Formats: sequence, structure tokens, C-alpha cells
Amino acid sequence: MRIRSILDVTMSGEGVIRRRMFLRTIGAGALALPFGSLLAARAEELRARRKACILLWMAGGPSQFETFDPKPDHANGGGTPTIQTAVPGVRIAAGWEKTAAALSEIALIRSLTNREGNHARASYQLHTGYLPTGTLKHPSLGANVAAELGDPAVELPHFVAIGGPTQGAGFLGAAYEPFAVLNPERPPANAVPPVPGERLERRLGLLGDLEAAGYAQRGGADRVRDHQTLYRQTAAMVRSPRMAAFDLDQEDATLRDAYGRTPFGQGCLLARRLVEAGVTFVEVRSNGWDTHTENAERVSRLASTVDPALATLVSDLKTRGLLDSTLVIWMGEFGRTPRVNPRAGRDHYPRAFNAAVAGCGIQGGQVIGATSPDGTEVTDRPISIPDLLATFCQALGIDYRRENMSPVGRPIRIVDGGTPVSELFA
Amino acid sequence: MCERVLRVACVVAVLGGSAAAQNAATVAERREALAIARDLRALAESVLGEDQPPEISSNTPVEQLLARLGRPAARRESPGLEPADLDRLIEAAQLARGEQPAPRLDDAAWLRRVYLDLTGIPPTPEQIAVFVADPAPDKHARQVDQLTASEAFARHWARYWRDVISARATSENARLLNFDTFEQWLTQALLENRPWDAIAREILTATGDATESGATALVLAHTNNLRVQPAELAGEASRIFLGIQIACAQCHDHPTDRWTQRQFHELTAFFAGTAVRRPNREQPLRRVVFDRPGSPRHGLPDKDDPNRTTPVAPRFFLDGSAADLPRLTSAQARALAASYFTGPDNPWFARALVNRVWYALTGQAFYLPIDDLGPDRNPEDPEILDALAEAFTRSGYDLRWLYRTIAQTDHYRRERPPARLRADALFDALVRALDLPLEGLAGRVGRNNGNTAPQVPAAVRGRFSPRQLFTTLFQADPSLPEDELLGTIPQALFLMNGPQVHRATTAGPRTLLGRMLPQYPDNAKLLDALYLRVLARHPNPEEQRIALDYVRQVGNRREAFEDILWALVNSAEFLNR
Repeated sequence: MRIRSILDVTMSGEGVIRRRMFLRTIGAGALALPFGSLLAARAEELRARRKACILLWMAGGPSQFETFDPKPDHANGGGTPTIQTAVPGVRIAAGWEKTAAALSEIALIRSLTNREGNHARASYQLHTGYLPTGTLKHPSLGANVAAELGDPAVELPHFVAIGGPTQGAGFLGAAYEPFAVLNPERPPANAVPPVPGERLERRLGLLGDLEAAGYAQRGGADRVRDHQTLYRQTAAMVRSPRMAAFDLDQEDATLRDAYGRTPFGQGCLLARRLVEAGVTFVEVRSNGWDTHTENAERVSRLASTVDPALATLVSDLKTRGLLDSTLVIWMGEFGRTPRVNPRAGRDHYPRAFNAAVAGCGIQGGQVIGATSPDGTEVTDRPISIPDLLATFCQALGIDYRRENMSPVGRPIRIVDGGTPVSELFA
Repeated sequence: MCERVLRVACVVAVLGGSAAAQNAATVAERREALAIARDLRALAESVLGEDQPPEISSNTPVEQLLARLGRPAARRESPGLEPADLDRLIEAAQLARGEQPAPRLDDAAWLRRVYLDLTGIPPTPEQIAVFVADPAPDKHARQVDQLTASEAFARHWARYWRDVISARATSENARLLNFDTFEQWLTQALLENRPWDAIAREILTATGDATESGATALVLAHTNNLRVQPAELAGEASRIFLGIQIACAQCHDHPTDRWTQRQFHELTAFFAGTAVRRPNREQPLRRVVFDRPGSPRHGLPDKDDPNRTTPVAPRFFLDGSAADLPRLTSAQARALAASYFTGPDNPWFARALVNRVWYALTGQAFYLPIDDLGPDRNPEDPEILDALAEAFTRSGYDLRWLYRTIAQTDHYRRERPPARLRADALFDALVRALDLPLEGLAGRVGRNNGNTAPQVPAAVRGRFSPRQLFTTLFQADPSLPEDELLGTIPQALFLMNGPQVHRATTAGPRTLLGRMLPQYPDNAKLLDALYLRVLARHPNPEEQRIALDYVRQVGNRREAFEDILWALVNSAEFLNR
């Protein structure tokens, strides 16, 4: 799978060589070029620009009708007008004008289908690929990706969650737990030492000396070693120049405005800065999508923060040459009922809902799957949750069938039973 | 059948043989005839010794139900195992492996361990001084007796079980569950030394309002949208009380154990009639657990189409008898399940508990992970496990006896692998070491930091005390192996840079260090007092040399001792027991 991932997307010093180019190189000069050494060179480059993932999580379950699968010709559409996009023939709900303009980079999936209609359980499932069980905590996609792709040379946490809680590392353990940032415009809590750097150094030296002379001699040698590792990591993070990634003030005000001066918009900007600084997986949470009442108005308000953030994130990544190595995902735990309820809301509906993906080899501008005119059924290309997560892994060059050992020695696949949606990579 | 024949015979005898006579009888006459029939039946039974049990009905009380099904009652006998007996078994096991006993701890180190193990609170410098100075040879045993009878012991272990349940809760609102009531209820039960089977039974059969009935916590931990998830409940009950992870067989037969998918769903069927309702709309967070009327209904999912199920009746997977159970109500089914779980004929109930307590006190486990036992696993030191589990069963599941017997061994006075303090214990240790006011740890501990910020409505957030905010950041699942608990970056950041720890390690007018600096003008004495306070021991000569050199090098006494105090609370030793 490592080799596959190199074949999928290979890097050059400046940026990205398209897969086709690489294949052409091999096709033209396969005999002249020692294949092994080429792969070795590519592997070196791959390490230099690792893949990363930004998950935009629409907590509560976004309505497909007011986002990317509108039904203007049916009563179930709720009268939401549609707009043209950069892709001829593809229309999305009004309120997503900036995303519409960027749609040639973004693929829409309109045929997700699932059975879980409970927030916590579906959130767990969309994050981990598994339904929750008491006996086993599954690692979320973020933890799996951090474990598979995290660069040990980067002092920042490999998995950062912005704007609220998410699923954790489960049985993968503390090393892959998400590092939480509630407010993207403030540095992470306790990351700034209350004493001058010199004095912190001195303290850490004293701590190391005392531990070596004391606890390490009293049966705690292993504990001291692990503890010193953690403190070295933490101190390295605190001192790392990469911590500047958390400082949004270093960004151009125009760009900050483009993302939107909202917690979510600034969270997306922080996500880009973190990925640029070497973080592997960033999740940014947008709250409030559980629109049981006043669905249209509330989604329209939410779109006014998510639309500019999503579109700017994709174009910003593209401008910086990061889009080819960064997978951007927009999704929530389920969709919403086709029927608008008496309180002008929509309720939970996992049977047919949508998501959007961009970057990392995803062919933008296409629509995968379709739903019936009334939006109640998937009529074309049903995609299950394991299919979706397997697709993410494929894009990131991770073998989604790889097994991790659970604490009771049960092998648990990263994704169980899904098949990647190959059309997305066409 | 017998009753019907008798009844007809009596009616005939009293009213005369002809049908016409019977039809003509008044209601009063017929009633009298039936009364005579009942008496006659009682007479016949007493004369013939006929002991045909009447059918089990929905009205049969639980005690009668269990007796009629031949369920054994718990034993309440002398356990017949003393700490010295346990030591002999441990020595024999070590000898067989060619191991030497570990070196003995000194009194101060032993005292810190026994306090932290049993109560989660470190001893004060005064308590250490008194204990070390005590010449009595039985002072260790007395200390164990005193601690196991304390409220701190009860509370510490109530929190342990609270964490066992909450760490694996599958409820949609797991963070909102009111575990306070559970903690209060179990603290009281442990303080009374209520037997472990009685506690387990209360949890497995709990009903009532969650704000009053703490034992409902396990059911509510596996309730979604007011719907109890019986499969989760059954799987967790088995993992927690028996250490058997039969839930792995939920979707297919267990890959490494003997359990089948059918057995798992038969276990689930016992809990399928458990239900939860909201008593009124005004209090949306209130929950009442009850048993649905009628029999529990549960289906075994079809292997090919999970939407299709075939009904399964309750049956306990460890019960060897092939007989079908009678038709039971939901309440009866749960009561019977509790009897199967906790009965003295089920060795896994005692083993699972003994395994957890042994691990917590000795750092070694018969089975690891500590919640993965069962007939297809090979325990370490089976002789020790069997002796402890059998004696614990004989004792009638006497928890205090178990803790005491282990903690009073000579083995317990020897070095063992370190174990990380649980979040509550660490909170108490910090409060003691730094003399913090409880509010000192409030603020943004768990809100702007860590991955565990509680996602709660503002109205509920007030419920989170400084302790809860702190433990949210430091919490860990007690069922996980100790060596997997290594601490996280946010935890390290909290101790390294957090304003609360920073303030309390600064020598200010109102801080501990501010008071101690003038109180101990001699640097060595001050160092000694700080070590005792934070690590419950004296510094060794090398540590003393390093620290006093440090004070000289820094050239600022106040600053140097701030650094030393910071280093002590940031040390691995402080975080471990």
C-alpha cells in the first residue's frame, strides 16, 4: 500500500507531479530507469510533503435539501431556490454561492445511505466507521490518519480538533488523542509558559536530574523514561517555531476576511496553517445543524459562515500547492427528513444524505450518486459509511484494510467492509 | 391438572351428580363448593406428600422464583484464608518461577502506597511522622483496618466503579448522565461493607428515578432517546461483573472464545424488558427506569439480513442445564439474570472482582486486560487466584475482607510496578501538596484545554465543580492496562504551564511556599519538608546534593525553591503510586 500511495500521487520538490506524468515517465523510460531507485527517491519526497486531511464537521446533521442536493421541483424541497455552479448542469442550494464558484475543485456525494439516526451514535459511526459498543472504543479517522501518516519530526500534535469535542483515539491510545482548540483565535490553553523560556529550560533540567537520581532509582525507571518523553514532546511543542501556526494575526487581513470573521471561518484558516506546519489531521466543527425547527432560515444563517470558509479553504490550499496533498471533507452525521415538519423544521434522516470532498487526488466538479425526485431514496450509486471512510483512506494513501490490535487482541480493521468510490479519483 | 380434577369432583360431591342440579346451583353454593375443593386439595397434598410446584406466574415473587429454579443463595461463611496463607501461596509461586521476593519498602513509602491505593489520598507529613515513629509490630495491619473502614476508602472505590461504567457508556448524552447519585449510593454501600453480590444485584435489577436510585447508572449509561439498548447493557454487565467479553459475539460467533452469537442474544433477552421514561416534560433530563409489563422480547438477527430477526428466549450462557426457562416477566428475567451473574455457582463473578482488586493493589493481574477473563484464557498464578476467589465466595463476597487480606500480606509491603494515580486521586494529591483552595483549580481547566471539553448546555455547566473539570482532563478508563496510561500533552501542559499550578508554586503571601520559606531558614530542612509534603518521603543524598547545588547556582533562594516545588509536582513520582 505504501508503494500504491506513491504511485497515486508523487511529489517533486516544488509541488506535485500528477500521477499521469509519473506513469508516463515510467512508460517512456522504464527500462532505462532503475525502478527501485526511482521509488526510493519518490518515497523521500513523499516524506517531505506528507498527506493531510481537514474534516469540516457539521454537527447535528446538515440538511441535504438546503445544501448540495436541493429539490426545487418537489414539495419536499421546501421552496429553497437553487443556483448555478462552476460546473455546467450541477446546481446547489442558494446561500452557497462561493462554494458554487469553487465547485470545479469539489466533488459532491449525494447518495450516502445509513440507518443510524441518533446524534451520538451516528457521529461515532461517521468518525470511526463503526457503531459504538461498550466493550471497545474505536479510533476515529483522525486518530487512524495521525497514527498512519503523522510525521515524528513535527513537534505539534498530529491530530487537532478545533471548535468542540470529537471522537478520540479509542484503543490507539493517548498518543493519537486529538489536541483540542476551542477558540481558534486564542493560543491553546497553557501553551505559553508562565516563566521565561530560560527558566523553563532550567526547571526541566532540574526535573530530569532529580528524577534520574530519585524515582528512577526507586523502581520508577520506566515511568521516568515515559514521563521524560512526554515532557520533552510537550516542551518541544511549547518552544517550537511551528507554534506560530496558532497565531492567526500573522495572516493577511484580506484573507482572514475571506474565510469569514467567525469562529468557524477562523478555525478553517487555522486548519490550513496547521496543515502547512505539518499537522496531519485537523477537524473543524460547526455547531447548530440540528434544525428541527425553522430549518431553512437556520441553514441559511449557517451557510453564511460555512460557505465562505469552505470555498476559501479550498482555493487557499490550491494557491499554496497544498490541495493535491490535503483532503478536505465536508459532512455531518446524517441528513434531514424530506418532509418539512409543522414547525418548519426537518428531522433526522440517515437514509439519503450528502457530503462534499476535495483535494488529494479527488476529481473535482463531479457529482456521485443521486436521490429520487422527492429525496426519500437513493436511486443511483448508494454509498455506505464504510465505503465513504475507505474512500478517504484511499485518497490519503492509507491501506484501509490494515488491522490494528485492540486491547483484547482482536484485530480491528481501519475500515471494515467498505469499498472506495473509485470514480472520485477518475 | 390435579387441581381441576379435584375441583370437578368436589362440585359433584357437594352439589349432587346431575348436570341439572349443578346448573341450578346458586353462585353462593358454587363458591362454597370451590372453597371445599381447595381445602380438600390442601388435605390431599399434605396426606400424599404431593409436592407438585404450581406454575411460575407473573405474580411469583423473586425469592420463590429463584428457589423453584434451584438457584443457590450466596454463602456467608468464614473465608478461611489469612494474609499469611496468601503469602505462602505467593512464595510458592515465586519459587516455582525462580523469582526472589522484591525488596521491602520502608515505612514512609509503604504508607504513601497504602493511603493512595485504598483511599486515593496521600498521607500528610504528620501522619507519616506518627506512623514511622510507632514501634508496634502490628501497625501495618492496624493501618489497613483503619483505612478500609474509612469513608475515603468507600468514596475512592465508588469513583473507581463510576469510571468503569462511564468510560464505556454508549448513551447519547453520556456526559450529562448524573453519576453523582451513583457515587453517593455506592459510597454508602461500601461504607456499610455491603456484599459485592448485593451491590451487583442492585445494579443489574435497578429501577426508579435516577436522581434517587444511584444503581440505575448502568442502565442509563446504555440508553438512547429513552430507549434502553439491551445488547449494550448485557455486554457491559458481562464485561464488568464477570470479565467475560461475550459482546464480541453480537454480530457473529466469537472468534477466539466459545461463545456463540445465539448465546449473546439469549443473554440480551434477560434485559430486553428494561425500559426508561421521562416522568414529565418540564424536567427533560429526568429519567425513570422500570420493567416493562409482560415478558421481554428480543430477536436474534438473521445472519444474511440483519433487519430480520427470530425471537430468542432468555438463557444464561454459563448455565449448563438444557432445560428451558419458564415464561418470565421483565422484572423476573432481570432478577434471574442477576442471580446467574452473582450466584456462588458462577466462579467468574468472584474471579473478575478479585482480578481487579489484585491488579489495583499489587500491580499484577491474573488476567490482563483485567476485564477479559473466561474459560478460554489462561490466568497467571492460578493457585493464588483460585484461593482468593474461592475464599471471597465463601465469605459471601465480603469486599472489606478481600482488600484487607491482600493489603496485610508481607507481599504488599514489597516493591511493585508503579501505577498512575486516577484523576480524583491526583486532584486530591495536588490540593494537598500545594495546599490549594478547592476553587484554585477551577477556571478553564477542562474547557479551553484537552480534548474532553464537556459539551453541555450553559444551564447544566454550573454542575461541573473544580474537581469535575480537573478529572475531565485527567480521566482514564480503569479497565485499561496501567502501562497504557502515560499522560497526554494537555495534561502535561496543565501541570507545566497552567496558571493554577504556577500560582500555587510561587512564593507569595498566601501560598504554601510563601509560608514555608521563612519557617525553614535552613535549605536542607526546607527541601526535606517539601519532599515530605509532595512525595511523602525524604530526599535521598543525591537528590539533596542536586537540589542544594541548584539553589546555590540560581543564587536566589525564593526562585530556586519555586523551581524545586514545580519540579516535584511535575515529576513522574508524584503522578504514580
